[in-house]
Amino acid sequence: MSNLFPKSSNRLPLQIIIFLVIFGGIVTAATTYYATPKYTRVGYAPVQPVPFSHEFHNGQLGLDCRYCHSTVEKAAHAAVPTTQTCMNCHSQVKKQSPLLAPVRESYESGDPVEWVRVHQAPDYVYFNHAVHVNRGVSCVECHGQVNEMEIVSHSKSFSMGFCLDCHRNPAPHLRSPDLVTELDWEHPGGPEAQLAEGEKFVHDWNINPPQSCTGCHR
Amino acid sequence: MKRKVEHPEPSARELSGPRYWRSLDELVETPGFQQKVEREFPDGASNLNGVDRRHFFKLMAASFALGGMGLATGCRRPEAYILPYGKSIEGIIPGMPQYYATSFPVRGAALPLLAETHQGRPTKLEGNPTYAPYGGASSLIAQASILDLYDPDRATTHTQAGAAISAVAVRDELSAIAKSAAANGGAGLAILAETSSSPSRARLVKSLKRKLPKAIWAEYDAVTDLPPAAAAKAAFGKSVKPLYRFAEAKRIVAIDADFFHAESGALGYSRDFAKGRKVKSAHDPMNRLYSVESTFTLTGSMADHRLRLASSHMLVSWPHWRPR
Repeated sequence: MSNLFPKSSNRLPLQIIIFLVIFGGIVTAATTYYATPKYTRVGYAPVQPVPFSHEFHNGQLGLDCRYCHSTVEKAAHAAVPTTQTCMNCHSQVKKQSPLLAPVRESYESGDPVEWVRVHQAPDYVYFNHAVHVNRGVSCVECHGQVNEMEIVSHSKSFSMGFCLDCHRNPAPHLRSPDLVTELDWEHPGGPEAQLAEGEKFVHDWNINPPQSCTGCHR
Repeated sequence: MKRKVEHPEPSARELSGPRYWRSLDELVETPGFQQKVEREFPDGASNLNGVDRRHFFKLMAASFALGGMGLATGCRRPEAYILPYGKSIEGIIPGMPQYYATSFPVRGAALPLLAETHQGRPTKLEGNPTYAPYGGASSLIAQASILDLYDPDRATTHTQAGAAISAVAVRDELSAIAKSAAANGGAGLAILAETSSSPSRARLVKSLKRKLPKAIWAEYDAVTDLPPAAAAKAAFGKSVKPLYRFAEAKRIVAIDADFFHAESGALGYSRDFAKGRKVKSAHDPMNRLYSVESTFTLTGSMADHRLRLASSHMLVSWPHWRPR
């Protein structure tokens, strides 16, 4: 009777082990790369066509976030302002500034200014700005201290864990909705009073953030 | 084993009845057609044109390998841009739909609609619920008419004898016509249009007729659902347009009239008809619908008594017809 297996199958266990080692290495490398801040782009601060300073306009002048990002309370998407919004002031202020040339050009022609996107939720994630802001989640919770940013950078990780931390325990992140754009605000009674107030909001407004997959991955 | 299906021999009725055909080739039984019918698949259906299988696989393997090379750059997220409007547009919130009231012209009538638009692009039409007789309903043709806006065959320019001309040329042409028509009161000038219920157009036509009394204003529709003006005049003594009130009718006879679907007021008529059908207590009356028709329609399928009849026979035989 001839052999059922050819002689080459003697090497098979070793081959399987080598394969597993290589496969495990790839998985480890991929996880290390994709799950670290480098991939989630914390610190990403692209060069914008116009060096708009949030630190100056919001931090020093005190323009409300919603003056420009006007749709944040009404729509899922917090729109970047139209060029006309910039020109509301800049048709009077710094009319000749060479830094504002792209804005004036866009206002003349109607073509958009190509702002580089900093924060981007993946296509497989549903995120609605309005429901968060209207329930007292401040801008600062996800976007960081934008009022101190000369150049806007990505300050939080936006990983799934980041979202779930808050969805599992929303109380420490809530404040009165009229204070959501006060990025420096701290509760006058300290963290304990903030937490007590947050728990009151959770109870009063029946805040029940989804933790199931389909809550966000619709 | 391959099963052989034996088709039954054509029956005597099939042989003696009318013979139907689907193409002229089938009718005259050309040899090419006979050959085509005998083959299950046309010649060369299983071969790729110009490429053989091995070559195709070679190319695909190379493409996938090259695609893999791109992975090295694909790891980094591409730079994305946000492009807001240059000039603000009133009422537009990116990501939120806007609704506009509009209407869908149906011959002499109009169907009130609400159009959903996203950043200026209409995506969906629904009936306007503020128009009570239709109660927010819309017809399937009105629903589908949204696609007309994205029709690649939609006219994008003016044409004259098949050639595109500019808007300025059209205006020149029209003013030349107006000048020559004004000289003789519009004799020899005819304008062909579709029917419309627009009061603005009626006013314009009136002023045109005052200006050019000899010109002909003609309205034509491929399909019309109004009884001829002469018939209305014979029945009522004056030129009137019928408006049916099915809610109050006890007995309804439809002679080749599909008032549930094909007529311009169909949405209102079908709702009205349903009101006359509704029975809330044991003593409530209920309407009865008799339908005589030459093709199967919604009205016929809804009718309590349906008679199938060729249109040519209708006026002759309907007075003798008694429902079973």
